[in-house]
Amino acid sequence: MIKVSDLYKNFADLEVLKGVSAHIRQGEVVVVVGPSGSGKSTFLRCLNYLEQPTGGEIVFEGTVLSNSQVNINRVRQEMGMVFQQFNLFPHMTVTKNVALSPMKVKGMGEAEAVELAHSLLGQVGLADKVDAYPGQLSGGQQQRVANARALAMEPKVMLFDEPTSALDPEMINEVLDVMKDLAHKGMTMVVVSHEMGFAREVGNRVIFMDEGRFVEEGSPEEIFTNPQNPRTQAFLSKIL
Amino acid sequence: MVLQVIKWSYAIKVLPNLLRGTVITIKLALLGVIAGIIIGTIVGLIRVNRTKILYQLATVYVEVIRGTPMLVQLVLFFYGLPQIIGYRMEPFTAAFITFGLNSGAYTSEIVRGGIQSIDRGQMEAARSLGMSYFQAMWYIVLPQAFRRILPPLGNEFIILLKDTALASTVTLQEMMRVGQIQMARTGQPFPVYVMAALIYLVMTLPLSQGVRWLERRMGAGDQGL
Amino acid sequence: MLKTKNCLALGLVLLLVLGILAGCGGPSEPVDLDEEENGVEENGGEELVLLEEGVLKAAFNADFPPFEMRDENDVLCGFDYDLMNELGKIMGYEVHFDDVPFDGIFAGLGTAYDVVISGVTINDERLLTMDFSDPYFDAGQVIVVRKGYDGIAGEEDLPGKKLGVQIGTTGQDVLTDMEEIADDDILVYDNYPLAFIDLVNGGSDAVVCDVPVAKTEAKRNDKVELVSEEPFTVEFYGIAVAKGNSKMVEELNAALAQVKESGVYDELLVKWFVEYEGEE
Repeated sequence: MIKVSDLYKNFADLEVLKGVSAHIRQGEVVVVVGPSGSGKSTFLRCLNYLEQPTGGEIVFEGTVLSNSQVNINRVRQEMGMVFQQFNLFPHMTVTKNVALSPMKVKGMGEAEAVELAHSLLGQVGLADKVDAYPGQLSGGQQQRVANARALAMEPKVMLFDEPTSALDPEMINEVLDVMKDLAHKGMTMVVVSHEMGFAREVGNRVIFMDEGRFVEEGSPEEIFTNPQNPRTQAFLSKIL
Repeated sequence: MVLQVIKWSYAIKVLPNLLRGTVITIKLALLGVIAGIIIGTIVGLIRVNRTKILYQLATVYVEVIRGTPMLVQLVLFFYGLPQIIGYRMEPFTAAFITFGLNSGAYTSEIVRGGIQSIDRGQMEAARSLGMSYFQAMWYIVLPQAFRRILPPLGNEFIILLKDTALASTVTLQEMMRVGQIQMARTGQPFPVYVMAALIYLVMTLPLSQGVRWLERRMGAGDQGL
Repeated sequence: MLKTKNCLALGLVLLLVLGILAGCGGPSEPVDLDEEENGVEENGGEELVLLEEGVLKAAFNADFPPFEMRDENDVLCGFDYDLMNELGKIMGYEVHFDDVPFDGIFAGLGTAYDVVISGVTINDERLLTMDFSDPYFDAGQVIVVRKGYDGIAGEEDLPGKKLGVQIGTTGQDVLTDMEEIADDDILVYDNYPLAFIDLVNGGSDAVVCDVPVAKTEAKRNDKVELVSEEPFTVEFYGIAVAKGNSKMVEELNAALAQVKESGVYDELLVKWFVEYEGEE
C-alpha cells in the first residue's frame, strides 16, 4: 500500500532521515518505536507530505508522491492523521470539527455530514459531547475526536503521531481501546508510539528507529523478547 | 493687552455645518477601513505565504506606505499626479484611495501577526484532512486569527477616523475643513474646534469601549466565536 | 456591571462639557460687550502696551506673494514685510514676524502677536471681532482662469462653475455671500499656490483672489490668465489689531500717513508690483 524507498530529510544542516525504506501492506499495523529525536515523527509526517522529503521516493497505491502532477490534497484524503497535540479546531463544535472536511473537501451535504459525524463520535464513545467545544473536553476525549475527524474522510490508512504521549495515564486506555477497535476492523495503521502494550497486542510489525535509520524490524514478539541489535536492546531495557 | 473674548454661542451656531462635515468624515473612514480590510487581508496572506515576487511587491507596498506621511501621499495623489498622468481625481476619490492604501498597509501587518499567532498545527491538521491551502486558511486559520485581529482592527479604525481630517487639504469638506472655514469666518477657533473635538470624541469613545469589550471577551477563552 | 458604569461615566463627562458650553454660550455675550466698552475707555488715554516690551510682533502667512512669502533662500520678504518694518521704524519698535497659517491667524491676535498684516481685507464680519488700521492697499477681487478658457467673461458667469479660493480669504467670503453660488461649488484650498495648481489640473474652472495675487500668478505661470484686470468687488487691506486696542490703531495710522507722505510707500509699490517678477 505504501512503499518507501531510500527516504532522506534534512532540516537546514540537520540530517533527520538518512535513507529509510519500508513497505506497509494493506491491513497491517506498523508501530515505529525509538528514542526521541530518532526521526520517527518526521518519517510519519513525510508519508503524507506534511514534510517534503529531501530525497527518496514514496509510492502510495501506485502514486508517486514526489511527482509534481500529483494532487497531494487528493492523496491526503486517503491518509488520515492524528496528531500528538490533536490539533482540534477550537472555534468549532466537535460535530463541526468532524463534519467540516467531508463537506468542504468531498462536497457532502450538511445533513449527511452531521449524521456521519454523530455516528463516528458515537463509535468513539462521545455521543453525549457532539455539541461541545474542544476546550470543554478532557485530553482523552479530544484525542478520540481527532480520531473521528480523521476517519470521517474514510481514509485507507491512518497515521498516528504519538497519540497517547500528551495524555494523563488514566486516559491512555480509553484511547488505546479506540485504536484497537480500529485495528480489528482491518484499518491499515502506522503508529509512532511508546506504548509497548499496544504494539504487542495489535501490532503486526515493530520498527525500531535510531539516528535517522531503521535499525531493526520484526514482529512484536521478536523485537520485544529477543532484540538482535545492541541499540535496540539498550533502548528496550530503559523503557520496559 | 487685550484678550480676545471667547464667544461660546458660536459652538452651537456652527454645529449644523460641522454635522454635515461629519457625514463625509464617517463615509470616508468607513470606506477607507473596508478597503483596508480587503487589501490588508490579501497583502497579509501574501506576506505569510512568502511566494517570492508577490512577497517582495507586498513588502515594498507596506514599507513605502508606512514609511511616508499620509499627507504627502494625499497631496501627491491629488495635486501631483495630474501633472504627470494628466488625470485628476475627485477630492473624495483621492482621499479614499490614500486612506484605503494606508489602512491596507497597517491592516496587512495586523492580519499577518494574527495569522502567525495561530498554532502551525491548525494548518497541518486541516491540510492532513485533504483541504487545500486556501480552504485551510479560510475555514480554519482566518476565523481564529480574526478574533485576535478584531481589537487592533478597531483601533486602526479609530486612528483612521481621526486621520480623515487630513482630507481637508484636498478641499474635501469633511469636519475639519468645515471647522476651519467656520473658524476663518468667525475668528473664533475655540468654540468651533471644541465642538469639532467633541464630535470626534462622541464617535471614537464608543468605538474604543467596543474594542475594550472585545479584548475582554477574547481573554475569556476560545470557546465559540 | 462594568459596562453600565463606564457608560454612566461617559455620559456624565459629556453632560458636563455640554453644560459648560451652554452656560458660557448664553449669558456671555452681553457681558463681554460691557467688557469691550470698558476696555476701550481704559485703553484710550494710556500708553501703548505691547506683548513684549520694545518689540512689535506681527503675524502673516508667507504664502501670499507678493505681499508675504519666502525668497529662494527661505527668507521672509514681501510688500507687507517691508511696509511693516517701515512702520515699526517710525513707531520706534523692532518688528518680529511670525509665519502663521491664514485660517487660524486671527486667533493669536492680542495673545501671540500684536498685529496681523497679511493682505487682510477689511469687512463688516471681521470688524465684529477685531479692529483695523486705515486701509493701506486697494485690492478688489478678480477672476483667474486657465489660458484660453472662455466659459467665464465676468462675475455673472461664476454661478454653476467650480471656483477655487484660499481658506479664510476675502475671495472665499465674497463667493460664499453670493447666493446664486452653491456651497459645494466653492473649493477651499489651504493656500493660493495649491488653488492655482488644481486650476491648471482642471479641478476648478476659476480662482477668485485679490488683484496683486492674480497678477503675480499670471506673471510667473503662463498657463493661467486674468479674465479682467478690473476687480469686480471693492476691497481694502488693513492691519488687524485686537478688538479695542485703539491706541495701536492710532499709532499705526500716524505711521502709515508718514510713510505715504515721505514717498517710501510709493517706492515699495514699485519694488513689489512693477519690478518684482516673481519666482519660479
